Amino acid sequence: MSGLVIVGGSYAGLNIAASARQNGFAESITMLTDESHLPYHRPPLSKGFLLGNVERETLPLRGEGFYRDNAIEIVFGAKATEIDRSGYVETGKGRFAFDQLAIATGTRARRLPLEGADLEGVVTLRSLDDADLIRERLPAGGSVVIVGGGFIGLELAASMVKSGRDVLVIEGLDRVLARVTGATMSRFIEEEFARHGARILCRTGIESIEGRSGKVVAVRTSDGARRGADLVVLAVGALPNIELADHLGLASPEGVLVDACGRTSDPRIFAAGDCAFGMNLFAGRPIRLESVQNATDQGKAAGAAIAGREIVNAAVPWFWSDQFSLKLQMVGLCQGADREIVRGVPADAKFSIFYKRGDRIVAIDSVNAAGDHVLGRKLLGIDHSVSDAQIADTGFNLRTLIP
Amino acid sequence: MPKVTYRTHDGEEHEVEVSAGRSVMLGATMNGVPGIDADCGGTLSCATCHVYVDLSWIDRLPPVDEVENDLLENVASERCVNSRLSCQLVLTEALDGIVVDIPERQF
Repeated sequence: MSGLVIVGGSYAGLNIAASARQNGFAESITMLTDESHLPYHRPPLSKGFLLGNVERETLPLRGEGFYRDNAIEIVFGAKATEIDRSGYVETGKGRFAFDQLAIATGTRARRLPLEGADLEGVVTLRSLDDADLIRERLPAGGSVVIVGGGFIGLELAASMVKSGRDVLVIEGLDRVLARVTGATMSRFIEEEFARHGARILCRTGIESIEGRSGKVVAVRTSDGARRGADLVVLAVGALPNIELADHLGLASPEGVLVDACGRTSDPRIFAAGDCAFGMNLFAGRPIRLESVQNATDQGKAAGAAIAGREIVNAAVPWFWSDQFSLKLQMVGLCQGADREIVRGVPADAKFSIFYKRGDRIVAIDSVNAAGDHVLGRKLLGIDHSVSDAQIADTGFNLRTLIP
Repeated sequence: MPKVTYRTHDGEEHEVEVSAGRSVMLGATMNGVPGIDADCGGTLSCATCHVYVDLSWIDRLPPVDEVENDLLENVASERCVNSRLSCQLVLTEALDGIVVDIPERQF
């Protein structure tokens, strides 16, 4: 009775297990995680949890009772080191035989090959243990340099400003969030950070990190300046954990290769979440997405496939971020858009940017405009026809577009 | 400790004790009650913790704010007069015994 073994214990792993059970999978389910926690909410780690507003006990995605009721066994501290196609996973906690296997190994924070990157006080944020380490250092006061102006870098920067730290964000490109939003939104966010006293330097790289007695004291930036720092956060993106799958020939450099149901080319092996490079029906091509929504929906599809039911993942991608009092919500994928249309008033901090390609809305980024966002999750998944002028006119009710 | 009764779409009842100060959403996710997805963990971002509050309790709840209202406008199952996002329903002793119905779909 080898059943299903899931490598990884986060959103994708949990949803694979839950969906397999929901769809009638009756064999054993074993989830292997290299962490020592039940699968937990990661977004609060850079925000509420860091500031002490979110209690540790409320972080688990599901309580222990859920795993017991659904006969899902979790093995903590079990880092998988090898998958063998004859049907077992090797871990530091022993060998686990499987009939079916799901790879939900997620990503790891990218490190920079820099002098000084291993000094004490140079950190990354991915896990609860990482957040605990940052939290320990938070009350110390002083200066924080955050390398990278993506979501995690900016969320951390906002939290650090709130906790009274002096914050500098260094971004290599010409604007923050360049990979994920359009220029209008980037400028708005940059102004909001300036208003709160956080400095952002774009088109600036990091050359080296300086230490004293093994501890970080400063960074050297590409403009030649030396900037004091007693905490440096490297928030320069994530790399998919594909090594186990790559060894089996199931991955490309982009990720573990899957179809729209989370199946790899091996009929016994599935994958989902941040590590998976899969056919995305909304995008119309294979992509890898790093998001809670994707891990959840791809996990549900993979779990169903494991139970022998085909559920194609056709979800519209969506994301969220909270920075200062801004509730950012994004739906769709803005890459490839040919224009931006503003709905609402950015100066009031309540507006949305609609991204269009041809006649279609391909993405909507909302700031404190949850209605536009949730509507977008429906609208982008169906055929729609709306003019640019209608989008820009807040008197036009977008809900009339949904049958 | 306040008790919450959850009625699932297929008619199961779950009675759960939830500490005052915690939400109806957490009471479900932490105690194995199915049907409340809570993808965003209670930050008013996702609209996947929709419940129908038993009408006898609805007047005892704090009002729906603007963001919750926006999100409720587009929940997956039909919005009714007693629709709420359960992450916004924080338990107090006064809500001991509250009953909520879980809709068919969250998204």
